[in-house]
Amino acid sequence: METKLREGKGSVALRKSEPLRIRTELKAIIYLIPFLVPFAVFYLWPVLRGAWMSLHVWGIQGMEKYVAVANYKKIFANSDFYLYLWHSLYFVLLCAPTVIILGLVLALIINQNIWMRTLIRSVFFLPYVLSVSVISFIWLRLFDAKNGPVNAFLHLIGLPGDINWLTDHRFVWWAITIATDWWTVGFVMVLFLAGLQEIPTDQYEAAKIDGANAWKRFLHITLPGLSKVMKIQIFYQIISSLKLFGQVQIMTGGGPGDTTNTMIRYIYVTGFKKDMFGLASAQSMIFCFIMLLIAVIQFKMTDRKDG
Amino acid sequence: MVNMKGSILAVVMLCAFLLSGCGDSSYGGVKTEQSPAPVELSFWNPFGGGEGDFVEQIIKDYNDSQHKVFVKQLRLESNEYYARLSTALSLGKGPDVAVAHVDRLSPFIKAKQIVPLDALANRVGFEFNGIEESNRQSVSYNGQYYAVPLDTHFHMLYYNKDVLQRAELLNADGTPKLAEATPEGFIRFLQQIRDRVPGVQPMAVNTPYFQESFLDLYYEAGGELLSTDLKKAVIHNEKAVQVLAFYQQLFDRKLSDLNDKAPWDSFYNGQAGLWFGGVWEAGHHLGNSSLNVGIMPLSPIFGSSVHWGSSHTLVVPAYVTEQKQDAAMDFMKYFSEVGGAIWGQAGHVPASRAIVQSTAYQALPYRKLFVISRDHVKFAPKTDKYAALYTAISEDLQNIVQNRIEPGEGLAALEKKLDQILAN
Repeated sequence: METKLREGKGSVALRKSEPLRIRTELKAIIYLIPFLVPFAVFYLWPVLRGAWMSLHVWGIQGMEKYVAVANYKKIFANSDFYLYLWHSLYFVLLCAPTVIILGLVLALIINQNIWMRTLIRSVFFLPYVLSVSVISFIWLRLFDAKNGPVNAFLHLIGLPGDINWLTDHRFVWWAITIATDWWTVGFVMVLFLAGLQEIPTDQYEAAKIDGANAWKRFLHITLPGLSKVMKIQIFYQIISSLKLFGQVQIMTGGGPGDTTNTMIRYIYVTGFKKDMFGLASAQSMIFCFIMLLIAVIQFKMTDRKDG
Repeated sequence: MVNMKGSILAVVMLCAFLLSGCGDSSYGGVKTEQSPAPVELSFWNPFGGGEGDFVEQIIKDYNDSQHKVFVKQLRLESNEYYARLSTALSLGKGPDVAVAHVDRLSPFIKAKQIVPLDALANRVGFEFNGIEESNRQSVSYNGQYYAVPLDTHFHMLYYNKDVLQRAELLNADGTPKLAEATPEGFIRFLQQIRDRVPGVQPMAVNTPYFQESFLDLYYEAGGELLSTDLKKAVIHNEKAVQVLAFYQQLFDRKLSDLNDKAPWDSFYNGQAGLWFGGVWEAGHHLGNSSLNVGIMPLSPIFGSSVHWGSSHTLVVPAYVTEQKQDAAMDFMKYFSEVGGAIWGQAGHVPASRAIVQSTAYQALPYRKLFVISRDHVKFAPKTDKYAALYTAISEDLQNIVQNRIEPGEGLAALEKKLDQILAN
């Protein structure tokens, strides 16, 4: 009887809440419109249009013919695709760990009560406000093999011979990584700084009393305390490293040869240099899918740990 | 009373204003006509550096010479120029008149994105007959002219007289002692520079735009990019292999620096003996008082004097209104017939026959040699896929040279790619 009563009450409550829920959701949609409209116009529509274009031969004069999945077949049969995809992933392996470690080290240093702390923080953050073209041109000059300050400095400390930073395949990825790290490390540092300031100081004091040294305090308090920020950083750095384009376009032009040609540059060249927009759209769709896959895997992994 | 005074004053002032207005119109007898606002043209071009200054001068002179049309230029970065121009032409919003290289015209014409100019030329009195025959042919499609050719541009052999003097390779008349016009003879010449003038690159090779240096010698050797029906690539052959092997020898024997990212600067700074430089660089190098430079046509080391070249032209997009089309044609006429004299000073050989034959142009340094060399230029094949073909050629040649790929193997892969583009 009681159960029945409760069921009855529940169903009455549900019936009552139905129009309320619709009204609330409608309200939510209205609030979301300022985001949804630009999202649909500038993201969803181009993606759908890109998917449509990828099924056609699409040249400078527009759509030429429908070819179904021929563009996709062509891409998977071309060894260049796998090479440039590897280049993009290789840059993730180089850049994401280095920039995160550097950012963390800088944040740890600046988090101490050191002299001119604000100035140092500003100096490291400053490059982040510059555009990719500005930083690329700066490092293009710095890495100049003949007259660049980097080689001049290496000479000064006794290194014989010039390093061809941008034309030698052994050094070129490091040159791109150094430039990118210099550009973005300030942002990583600031996020870590925010994370560090959220860790309660009494935990450190307790650890000190228990006799934990600095390394152990870092390992058992700082790192776990930064885990949420770290996850965001890793996710963000992987995605932004995969999208590498500006630095290689300006500093190396994808060279020497095609050593630094990445997926995004491959798409750009196919579309805007070769006027093969259908093929470039198919490349974009594949790369978009790969990035989404990486994002989903990352979300799943971090969700599981959080749970 | 005060109000009354105020209203009288207002009436008097109104009458005075009306009278003065009447007086103005009746006094002189002629009503002052306001000249109509000039038609404003947006002119896109990729000219930077030295060239840009000359274009700016031509635009300024044109704007000063008349008041019906006002040209405003938008100078775009040359590497991104065609990406932006193609997008603008596809979208139907962009320049009213634009520069386009002759080898880029075909797809724009096929897509009906630029207009034929015959009728427009007739309206403003522009004579295509005044343009050099080869230039005229290059812009003619199905019996109609689609662009006004401005020039022909190509490479010349620039040499540093001081370097050659030190290497004992300079004749008494100031020309290089290029005794034997063969690849072996040319390499011996460079070796002598390397041996006698240490610290100097015997020859700066245009590695950033290596395709141009390759095409210069490949065309000298009698090579072709495509079959006569333009349906197949024919770049994988013995001539191309020999040209690539020649360049690879230059890099391997330290006769040229493969890592030089700005070879034009190396030559300008006196750090190189020879340089296959564009005619557009003439003013830049000749204006350098610390550089004792000479210029001559490319040596026919691979057999003939035929070499790579291109041409700047002016086009009018199809979306431009009729009024602006007329204004654009008027500007193009001025650029060709009057501005061409200034353009010739920049180094390009003007397409206008009258300007090339003028004593002022002929008196400019080395211009007689430029004209001789101009007559051996081989333009790109007229295919609407040239942008894709050229990009593939430049990328794969970079790969072959930078990654030390065996020329035969690299060219076979390139030919396959070109065939795929042609079949697409």
